[in-house]
Amino acid sequence: MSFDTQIVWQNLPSLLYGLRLTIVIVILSLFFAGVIGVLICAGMLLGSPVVRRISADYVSIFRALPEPIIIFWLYYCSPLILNTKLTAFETGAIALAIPSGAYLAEIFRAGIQAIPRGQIEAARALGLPPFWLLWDVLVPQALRIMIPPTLGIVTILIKNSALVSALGVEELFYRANVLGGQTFHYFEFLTVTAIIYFMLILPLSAAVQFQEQRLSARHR
Amino acid sequence: MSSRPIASPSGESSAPFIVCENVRKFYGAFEALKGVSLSAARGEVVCIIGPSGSGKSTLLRTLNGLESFDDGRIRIGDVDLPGTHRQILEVRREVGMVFQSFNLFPHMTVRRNVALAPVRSRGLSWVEANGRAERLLRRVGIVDQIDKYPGQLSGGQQQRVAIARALAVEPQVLLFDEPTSSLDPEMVQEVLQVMRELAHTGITMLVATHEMGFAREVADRVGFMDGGTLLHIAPPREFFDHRADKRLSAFLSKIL
Ligand SMILES: Nc1ncnc2c1ncn2[C@@H]1O[C@H](COP(=O)(O)OP(=O)(O)OP(=O)(O)O)[C@@H](O)[C@H]1O
Ligand SMILES: [Mg+2]
Repeated sequence: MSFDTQIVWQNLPSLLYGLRLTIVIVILSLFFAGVIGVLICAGMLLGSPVVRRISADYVSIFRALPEPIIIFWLYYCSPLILNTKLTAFETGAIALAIPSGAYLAEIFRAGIQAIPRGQIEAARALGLPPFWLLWDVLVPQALRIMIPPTLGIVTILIKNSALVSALGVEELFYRANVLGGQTFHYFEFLTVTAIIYFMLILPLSAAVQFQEQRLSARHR
Repeated sequence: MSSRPIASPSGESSAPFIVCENVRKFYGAFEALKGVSLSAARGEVVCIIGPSGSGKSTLLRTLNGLESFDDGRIRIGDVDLPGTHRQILEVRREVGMVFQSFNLFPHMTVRRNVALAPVRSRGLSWVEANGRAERLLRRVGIVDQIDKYPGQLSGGQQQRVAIARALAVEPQVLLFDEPTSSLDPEMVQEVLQVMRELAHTGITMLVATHEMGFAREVADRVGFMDGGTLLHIAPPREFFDHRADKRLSAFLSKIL
């Protein structure tokens, strides 16, 4: 068995078009997930008892469901509920955002609650106005705690984005399959696609490692 | 030392800067402060001793509004607590606090830890605040660590930074909540020495502590708390030698 570089090279633009769509869908759903995460986190920490309950339920429900179920459920059932049919692309972006938002909410909550009470008390005792207490003391410490697990969620999101190919969204994995089927060169296209996914994710893991090293250097 | 006049060195108004009257505080059904009255004049050093759980921290924390109270009166300068948000911020600028566990900001350098509040609370420029930080850190003897992070310092050094940080806002009062209790024994003296020097500067100090030597030597008055009550308060000689209260004398004989 030999690796046909030629065929990959010829069809690279088509594959890269898929990559572009993958990136767009990841960024879009990451944005929605961030919004959901902030809202649900605020609900869990600051809400009335009912809001807290609902926010906590959101997290536990959508962390438990398999992503394909959310994707297909939204695709087939949203017209029944929403009266409008979302495009496959829209469905995909939202369906990916729903569980990611649940994970992010939990990460944000844990990050904020991991800051020792003494930090807030020290800032208050210094007479820091609330905005500066958030900006100088809470946010930087919470971000440091949140960044590694958030990058983990982004990694999972990138991988799960391949699932929306099932709806016919022509992202990277979809293109790889189509090109493989058209040319009977699955081996080449799937291998190259795997490498592309790996290269998307590699910088994220590197960033996590870099941050962890920087922090541990500071605390020694 | 204990004969030092209670009024401020400049001799102006001797009206107490801090006044508590019958302060009561509940945690749920549990009464942590059962009607505490205590006042401190400008420049006075008051040490508060007492067994664990007697309410020392709770009392100190009501004085800068970190903890609310349920009954009685607290007056700081000319503000009655609990005041408006603005008044509470102002009170906190006048009443600094040093914690048992330092609570330095771990993500900032030592310099930044000290310079932050002058900029954010007092409106200084960073240049001015950094200069102030340097002066204060020199005063507490750690100016050579100024660009390190708190996690790189010993406990004693961290507590001295915390004292400099509290001083940087130029408060009238410093509250110390067991400032040496989480230090290794060999570091206790370096922190007490800084506090001793501070006591001579005319700043008002309220110190919850188990350091009897320090209380006897530095305090103008020593108070004994037990079970949410300030049972006895007197100048150190009288306090330690006469042991007016039975529970106090039991506590002292256990600890000394
Ligand atoms: N947030 C809280 N909720 C409920 N009870 C509390 C709380 N904080 C303090 N208490 C209780 O109030 C009492 C007084 O506590 P406080 O911390 O003021 O004592 P302390 O004299 O400072 O003791 P220590 O020497 O251990 O620091 C204790 O019985 C404590 O259990
Ligand atoms: Mg205490």
